[in-house]
Amino acid sequence: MDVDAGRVVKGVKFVQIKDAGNPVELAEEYNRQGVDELVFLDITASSDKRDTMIDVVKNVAKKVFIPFTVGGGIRSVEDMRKILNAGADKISMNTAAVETPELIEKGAEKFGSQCIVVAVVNIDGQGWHQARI
Amino acid sequence: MIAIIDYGAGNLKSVTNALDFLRVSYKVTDKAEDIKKSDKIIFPGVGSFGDCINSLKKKGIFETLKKEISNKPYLGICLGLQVLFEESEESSGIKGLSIFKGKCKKFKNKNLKVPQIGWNSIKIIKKNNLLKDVKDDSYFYFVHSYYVGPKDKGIIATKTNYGIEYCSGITKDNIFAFQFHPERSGEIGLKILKNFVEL
Repeated sequence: MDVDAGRVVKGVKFVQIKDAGNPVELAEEYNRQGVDELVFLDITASSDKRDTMIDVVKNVAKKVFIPFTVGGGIRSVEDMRKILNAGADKISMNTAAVETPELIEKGAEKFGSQCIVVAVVNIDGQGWHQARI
Repeated sequence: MIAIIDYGAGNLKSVTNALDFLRVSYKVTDKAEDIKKSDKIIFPGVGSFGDCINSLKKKGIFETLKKEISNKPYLGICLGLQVLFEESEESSGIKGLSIFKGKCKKFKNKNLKVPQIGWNSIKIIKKNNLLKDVKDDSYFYFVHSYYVGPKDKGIIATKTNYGIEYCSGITKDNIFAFQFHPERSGEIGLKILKNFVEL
């Protein structure tokens, strides 16, 4: 689920973004339908709204008891700590994994390799590519 | 009151959130007094075997825990299962709570990722009150690199296959412990926690 300023949104190829609902309610619904895990990607553009994501994570963790991953805007070990302490199981990195690859190792050392995920996005539209981490 | 053992290493939030959801009162503690006074103990271990044991000793609750585990219902989760044994390949030379004889071993299959992270099923070997209404082959969420090898096979409650078939749950008298995370295993996991609360 892509989350923008505390709401789930859905776009087509990253544009024409539409509101898709409340993240906590949707998490509960997907959980009820029997999904194995949930992933939330914070696509909030402005950094002052980042704390909204922490509240989303806290509220999801109170109601949903399956593993979930949170990504988007992770730039430091401290960012990771905030998300994990709020109740997420794993941290996902994308831009940060490219710009500051050492953050992958730092996070794995601090919180364990089980909770660090690297997300790979293929945006050139040329079909499947193999990614090695 | 349920005492949740906090030895300072990990995030206990998922366990306390699950108990809040079940409307159960508990106390997160690292004090011997609280552990003695409690009716039940939950030990949701995270981190490494050696760090955990050393921390329990530093906080002065190693002996208390060892004694109290035999007196009241105990639920060990993940490392909370492993510390019940004598030692672990993870931290050689460090003695565990040694409630049971045996050693924790590391997964060695080169074709499988270690740690095991994800959903896997259990075979019920010995039914107990915590596994009430839990069916054979139910799926639970696992995150671990080490598994327990009990000397007394009679305590094995569940087995799981990850390259090898290993012991994923034990039970003896008032002691229940699982390698998987009931607090992360959806409805069926909450069922186990509820069964423990209702003992």
